[in-house]
Amino acid sequence: MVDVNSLVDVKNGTQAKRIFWDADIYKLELEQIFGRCWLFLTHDSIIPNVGDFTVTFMGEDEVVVVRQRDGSVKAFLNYCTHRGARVVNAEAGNARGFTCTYHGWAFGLDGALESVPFEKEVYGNVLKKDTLGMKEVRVESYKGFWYGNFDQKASSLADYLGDYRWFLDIWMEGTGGAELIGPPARSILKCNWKTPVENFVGDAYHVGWTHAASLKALGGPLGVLAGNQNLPPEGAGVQITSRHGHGVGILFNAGPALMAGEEGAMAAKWYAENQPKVAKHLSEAQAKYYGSHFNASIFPNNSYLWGTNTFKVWHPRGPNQIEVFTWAIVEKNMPQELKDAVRRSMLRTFGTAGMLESDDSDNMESMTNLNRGPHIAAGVLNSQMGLGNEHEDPESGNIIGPSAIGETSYRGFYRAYQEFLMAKDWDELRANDGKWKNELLNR
Amino acid sequence: MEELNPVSHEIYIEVQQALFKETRMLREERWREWLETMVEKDIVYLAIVSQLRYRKDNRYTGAKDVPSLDENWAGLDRRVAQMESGLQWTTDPAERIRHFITNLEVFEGKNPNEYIVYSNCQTVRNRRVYEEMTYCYGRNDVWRRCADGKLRLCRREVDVDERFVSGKNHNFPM
Ligand code: FES
Ligand SMILES: [Fe+2]
Repeated sequence: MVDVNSLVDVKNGTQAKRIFWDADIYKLELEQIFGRCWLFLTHDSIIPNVGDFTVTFMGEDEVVVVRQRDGSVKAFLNYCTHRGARVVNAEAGNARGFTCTYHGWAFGLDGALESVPFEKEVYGNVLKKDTLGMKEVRVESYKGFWYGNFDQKASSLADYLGDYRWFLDIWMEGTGGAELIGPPARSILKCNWKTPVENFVGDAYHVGWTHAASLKALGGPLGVLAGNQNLPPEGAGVQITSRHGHGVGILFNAGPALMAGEEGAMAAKWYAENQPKVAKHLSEAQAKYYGSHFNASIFPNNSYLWGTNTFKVWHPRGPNQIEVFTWAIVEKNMPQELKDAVRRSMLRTFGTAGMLESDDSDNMESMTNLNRGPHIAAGVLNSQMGLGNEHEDPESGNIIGPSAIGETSYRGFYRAYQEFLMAKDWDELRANDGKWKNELLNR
Repeated sequence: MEELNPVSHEIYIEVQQALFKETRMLREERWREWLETMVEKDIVYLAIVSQLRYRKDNRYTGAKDVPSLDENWAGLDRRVAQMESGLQWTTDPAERIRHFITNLEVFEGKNPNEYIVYSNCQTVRNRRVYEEMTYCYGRNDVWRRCADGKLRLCRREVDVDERFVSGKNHNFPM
């Protein structure tokens, strides 16, 4: 039995180290977090046409996501209801239906079992075909981003994102929408799934140090942080955490991030030109953040960087391994030349051969694997930076930490983590809606 | 596929020696020397993974290529600068990388001073105590005979066989 209460101390900003290693905790996470949260599946731009499909994971479960004849999207567990073989072996494509390779049961785009070889002869009328469709998973989308949920009782995706949408809208909506450039790169890392999520949700502290060499070499607005030569000055940024643990760290006006020279200038120009449009389309308050660099995670395992323009899902594969899916992400209305520059910059920084990506993974793997030692695993993780400095953000309704560097979003992520591990169902989670801020604000 | 003309035995050996020299230079961490002496300024350096698709699927409109590397000279220069910075702790202690280059074929290129060079590579990369990683890929190169008579790389397309990156990342000389 896992004593969930002992894993996270929200008020004191610490977590037990064994959350990166323990198999029982991991099992609980698959049930209570991956079994109940909204998990990223795909984007409209990847499956635009009827019959387009793509295969991904929800936690450790493989799913197929399919564009339906009526334009809607459905997702199914990728196994055959006969003897359980995989139904779809391609990663993406366009199909009229899916036929299992084992005995040939054929499923429609809507997952229905349409035909069974020699059905009359071998089954007579035993088979209840209408109950043997591929098992469907609940899906919803926000601004073209599709997420799936195993829990029918979960709040809607919109409610799950909640006040955090205020920050999503800035780039998902501000200039006419975003799109993923696929297919995703895929890589296996030997780390716990939370190590990259916490890093992306709220770690501006490591940027100047972990990435010192990369920043020094690349230049651009983030380059000044190289080797901790400079601390971002007061007012340089903020950190945000929200109801369900989604968070973002913002470095103001650092949008071109690691793009220097002509490409950096092209990005800076785009942001400057579009800021007034964002103000008109959304609000002045949101436009203030447009053109900044965002490091962010959507609970539990979906991260993105805006400015370095990567979009990632960290799929768990046991307590100490993950599979990373990485896309480049751009604003739909950017000129093609800028999209290309952004994509190349993403590959250079956070792609599978990315300079910064490889810096990060080394830390994430050691943070995980050292816990094989019971004395090391018995320790605690510290995320106390800026403890006591945060307050409610009157503009967005979230909690805000008023500095570029701090660990506000770490604390918010692990507050939600503990809440999901403890709550017995979504009714209990919803009952906490009015009081989730109390512990974080120590009131 | 159009017929390609094989080069003379002499040129074949010369290209082979250039590839061997290149890999030794990289193994010895002489990245700047490699960039300055063996790489053309108009270099295109790609590493491409392929998404898995059904053979008969010609209706899906999404891209199939999954680039890991898409670099020009300036980008390679920045990667070399990263290693030269003295701050790159991920390669300190140093990594050890050994390329095995086989199945070499050399053909006359589209331009008279260029050669099309196909090879297979198996690369073993060791880092830290326990990480030994093996990568298998093809290289489709174009090497150019420059004004000084030397061969320099002007295009490399690394054709990666594995669909996922099993060895952590592709952030090494492929
Ligand atoms: S397992 Fe799929 S048809 Fe038998
Ligand atoms: Fe990082």
